[in-house]
Amino acid sequence: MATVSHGVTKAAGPQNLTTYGAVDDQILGAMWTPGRVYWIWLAATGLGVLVGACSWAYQIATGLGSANILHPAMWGTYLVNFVFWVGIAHSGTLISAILFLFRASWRTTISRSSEAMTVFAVMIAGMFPLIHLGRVWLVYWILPYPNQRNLWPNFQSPLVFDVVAISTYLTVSFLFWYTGMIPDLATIRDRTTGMKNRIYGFFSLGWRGSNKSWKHYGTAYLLFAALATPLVISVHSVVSWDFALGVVPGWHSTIFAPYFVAGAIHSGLAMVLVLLIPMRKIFKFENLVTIKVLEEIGKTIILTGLIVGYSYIVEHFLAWYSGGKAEQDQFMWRITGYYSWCFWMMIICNAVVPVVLFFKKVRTNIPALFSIGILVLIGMWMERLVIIVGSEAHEYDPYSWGVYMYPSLVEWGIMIGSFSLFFFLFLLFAKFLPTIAITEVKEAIPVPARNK
Amino acid sequence: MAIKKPALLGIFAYLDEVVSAVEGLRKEKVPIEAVYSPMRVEEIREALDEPILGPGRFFTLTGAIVGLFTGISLAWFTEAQWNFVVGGKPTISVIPMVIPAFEFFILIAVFFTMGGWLYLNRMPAKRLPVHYDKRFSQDRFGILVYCTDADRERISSILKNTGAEEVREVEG
Repeated sequence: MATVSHGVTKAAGPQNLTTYGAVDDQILGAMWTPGRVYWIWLAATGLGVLVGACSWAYQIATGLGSANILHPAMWGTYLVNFVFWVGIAHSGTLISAILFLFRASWRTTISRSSEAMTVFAVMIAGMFPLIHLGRVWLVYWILPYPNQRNLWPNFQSPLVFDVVAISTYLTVSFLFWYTGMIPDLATIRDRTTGMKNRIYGFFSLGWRGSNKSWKHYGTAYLLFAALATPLVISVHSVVSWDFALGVVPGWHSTIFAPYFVAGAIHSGLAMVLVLLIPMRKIFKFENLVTIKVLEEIGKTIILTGLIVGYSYIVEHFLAWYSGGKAEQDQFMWRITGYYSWCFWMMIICNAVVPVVLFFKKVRTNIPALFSIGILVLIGMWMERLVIIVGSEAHEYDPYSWGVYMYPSLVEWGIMIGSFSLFFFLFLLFAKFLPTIAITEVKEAIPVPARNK
Repeated sequence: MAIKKPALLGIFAYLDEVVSAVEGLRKEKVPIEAVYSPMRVEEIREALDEPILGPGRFFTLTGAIVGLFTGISLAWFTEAQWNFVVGGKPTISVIPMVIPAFEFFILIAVFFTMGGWLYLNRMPAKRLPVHYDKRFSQDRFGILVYCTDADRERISSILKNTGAEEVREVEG
C-alpha cells in the first residue's frame, strides 16, 4: 500500500516529521520545558495585568470621571478597544472554521493558536463595555429576566444585538476550541501520571479514539465550523451596526458591515503573525509553522488590505455623492482635522503597507512579516479611533463640536492591562495546552505503512 | 453494570495492516466492536463502510429550529411588553427580530451539537474501558472483536496474519 496523502501540500504541511511519536514529542515537548524567555514574558505581562486591574479598581472607586471621556466624544478608548479586540478575534474563526470548510491545508498548524486567540480576544472585548459602564455591578440589567416592573431589554436596539452576538460568539468559539482539543487532551492524559493525568483525564472527558468516536467527532467538528462561519460574519456586522444605525455623520453608512468584517480579519491576521512568529522561534516550531504558512497569511492580508482600502475610498465617495453637508464635512475633517494624523496612519498602515506583500521576497521574510503585522495592528487601532471618536467629535451642530484630547492614566492602565492580559493568557495556554493540533498534524504527515 | 464479554484486541503499528485486518474480519463476517486510531483515518472508515456523517447532525437541526423560535419569541415577547408606539409604527418590529433569531439559532444549535456529540460518544466517561491501551492516542492502532471460545483461534489468526504486533485476550 502506498503512503497515503491527506491533501496537504508538502511546503505548507509539517516538515521533518515522519512518525506520530515525533509529532507528540515535539508539540508536547514545548509544554513541559519552556525556556527562560517564556518566564520573563509571563512575568512582564502578569505585571501589565496587575496595572490594568488596579486602574479599573481605581475607576470603580472614584467614578468614570477618572477617564478623559467627555461630551461629545463619550466612547473614547474603551469602545475603540472593544471594537479592536472583537476584530482581533475574527481571524481565529476564519482560520479554524472558514479555511477548514474550504479545505485550505495550510491552516493545520496554526488553527489551534488562532482559536485560542479568538477566545481570549472576545473575552477581553467583552470586558470593555463593562469597564465603560462605570457601575459594573449593574450589568445584569441588560439580561432578559422577569422583574416586578416588567422592564425588558429592548431587542430593537443595536446595543442589545451586541450583547447577544458577543456572548454567542464567545460561547461558540470556546466550545469549538475545546471540542477540537479533546483528542489532544487525551493524548496528554495517556502520556502523564499522577495529578497531571487526573486533570487532563478530567478535561478529556474519557475520550477513547475509537472509529465511532472519530465519526461523531468529525460530524460535530464540521457542523461547528459550518455554524461558526456565518456567526463570525454576523458578529462584526452587528458591531458595525452599533454605529451604522446611529444617525451620526461618518457612521450612518450601509457599507459598514462588510467594511468592518474585512477590517476585523485584516487585524486578526496581523495578530496571528505577531503571535506566531515569536512562538515558532521560542518553541522551535519552524518545521510546523513553516515559511509557506506565514506566506499564505501574508497573501490573505493582501486581500483584506485591498478590501479595507477600497472601503476607505467608497466611504469618502459616498460622503461626496450623498450631497449631505454634515457627511461631507465629517470626511473632510477626517483628512485635515484634529485626528488627521490618525487617519493618514490608518491609510498607510492598513491599505498601503500590505501592498508590499505582493513581492514574494517580502512575504517570505520573517522580520518584514512581523513588522507588517505590527503596522497593520497600529493602523487598525487608529481606524477604530478615527471612526468612533472622530465621528462623535464632529457631528451636526458646530456648537457641540469637541475633541477627545488624550487618554487619562486610568485609560492607559486599562489599555495596557488588556494587551497584557491577552498575551498573558496566550502564554498560559502555550504552557498548559497543545498550541498545535496534534491529531491534525498526524493527519497531515504520511501515514505509517509497511508496504510503501 | 454492563456484562463483560470476552474479546480479542489486536494492536497494529501500520495503517495498511489495520485496513487489511478490518477487511479480513469483515470478509469472514466477524463483527468488529471498535477500531482505535490516534487520529481520524479515512481508510479505516472506508474499510468499515461507515457513512461520512454520523447522526449528530439531527441534534444540530433540532437545536437550530428551537433556537430560531426562541430568539423570535424572546424578541416578540419583550417588544409586546413595552407597547411604546413611536410615529405610528407597529410595536412588534419584525426586521430587528432577525438578529436575536439568528444568534439564538446558532447558539442553541451549537449547544445541541455539543450535547448530541457527548451523548453519542457516551461522554463524559469516568473510566476508560479496561482493554484501552494508552498507545492508541499516540502511535498505535487497535481492533477490538468480541469472540467466543469457538472462534477465538480463527479471529486471532486473522489479526496475526494481517500484521498485529500483539493480540491479547481482554474483557470488552
